[in-house]
Amino acid sequence: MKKRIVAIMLIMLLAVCIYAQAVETPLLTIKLTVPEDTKTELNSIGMEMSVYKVADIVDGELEFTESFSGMKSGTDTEGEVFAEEALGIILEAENLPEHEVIAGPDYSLGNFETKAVYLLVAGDGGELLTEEIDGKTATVIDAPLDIYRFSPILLIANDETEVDIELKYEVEDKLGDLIINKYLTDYLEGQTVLFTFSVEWGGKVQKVEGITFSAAGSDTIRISGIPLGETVKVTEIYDGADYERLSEKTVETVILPPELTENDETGTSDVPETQDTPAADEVPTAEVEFFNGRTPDASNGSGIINRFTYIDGEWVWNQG
Amino acid sequence: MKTDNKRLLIMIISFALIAALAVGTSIAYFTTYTAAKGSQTIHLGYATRISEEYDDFAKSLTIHNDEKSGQYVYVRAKAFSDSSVEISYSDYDGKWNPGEDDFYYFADPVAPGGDTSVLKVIMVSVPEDPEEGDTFNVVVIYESTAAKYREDGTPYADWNEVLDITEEEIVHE
Repeated sequence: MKKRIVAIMLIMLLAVCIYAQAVETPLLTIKLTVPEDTKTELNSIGMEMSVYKVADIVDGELEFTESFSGMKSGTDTEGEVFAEEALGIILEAENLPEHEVIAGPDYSLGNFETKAVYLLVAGDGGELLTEEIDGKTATVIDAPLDIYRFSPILLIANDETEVDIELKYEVEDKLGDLIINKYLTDYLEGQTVLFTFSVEWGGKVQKVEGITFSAAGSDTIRISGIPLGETVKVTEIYDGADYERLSEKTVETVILPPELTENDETGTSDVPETQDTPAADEVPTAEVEFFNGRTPDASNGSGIINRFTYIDGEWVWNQG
Repeated sequence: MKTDNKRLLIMIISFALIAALAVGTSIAYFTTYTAAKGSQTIHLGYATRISEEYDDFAKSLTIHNDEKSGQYVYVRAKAFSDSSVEISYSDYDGKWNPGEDDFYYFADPVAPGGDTSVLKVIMVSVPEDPEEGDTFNVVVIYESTAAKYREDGTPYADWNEVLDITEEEIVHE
């Protein structure tokens, strides 16, 4: 009898052990929500999120992993301060601490332990670039058309098995110049003529400029501060009372950085042949051309450009 | 006899003075007019000038028809700016009216030596939250055309008229 009882207990113990092994600790899936309007560019530049395990949460206390064992922050430390300290350790390490990578196009990974603290750091897979913004460290991706700045994300995972994190960042347009080349084949003596242009991008007329002629010939104006990669539409909105347009009224162009103008894979079919390929240290530039000649209209006229500049807190007017 | 010679001399001098005035002083610009029916001699040029005053985001425009033009002209004007600037127009006597192609048209022909009344071009709004060095432009253009006359003598403007002339018919003064 005793032997039978012992056998039954051993079998039950074995069954419990087998059952315990079959019930796995649930794992955490981290998913990044990337805005649709930037997903394509972020994918193209290889944006990825490195996930560092900073600490385990054991009975409400933090047990830091080996790479972060020197941290002074604790459970009562403000999140931003905690994240800043952890990021500092990563940046100062001779070799990057062990980490997982969440990358596109899905931006989802599902083998993280629960009851842990993670730091998510954005980069492009290369050396981490950083900037100080308002006393906090941001990682930077220097893309061909824009500069992206990301704050580190501190994730405290308890028992949840899925976390959806909205990717937040600041993006700064890289800027270039547009050169409008104007050619006047014939000039009516007696009065200056003012040709006027609108420069549109992002669906709005952003600039209005004019070129004044007092003789036949050519002249140019340079307009700065135009975002790279945007389709720029230049329209001659006024061609003078005694003059006629000899070229298209509207011309489109795109200002691209050197690394994209040298590569046909970027689809440079919209880039006019006149576009310069500037040196790496020069401002990216695109050029457009307009031609006009004289026509014996019975009307005549001219114009004036009024220029306003914001200086020391007020708009200053100049004429010409 | 001596008196007759004096009279003759006075007449000669008078004619000479009249001829000198007809030639005119040195011309810095041209005038536009057409001769009577038949062949045309077209004197192309510009006899209108714009005067602008600026004050607190408003430009007051007056267009002057020079006396030497010798003709009445119709005038129109308009302004261009980018989308961050809203522009409106006003005047004091109701003679400037909106018309085709976003021009403002002065209702009456302007006599030689005369002026339009003031057209105010007002920047109702300018770029918000500007930063040091930001800029915007407002381009003001104006045009004039010689008054034409109907059979009953009433004047009108033909802004689409293109002169059907050859270069040889143009006199550049």
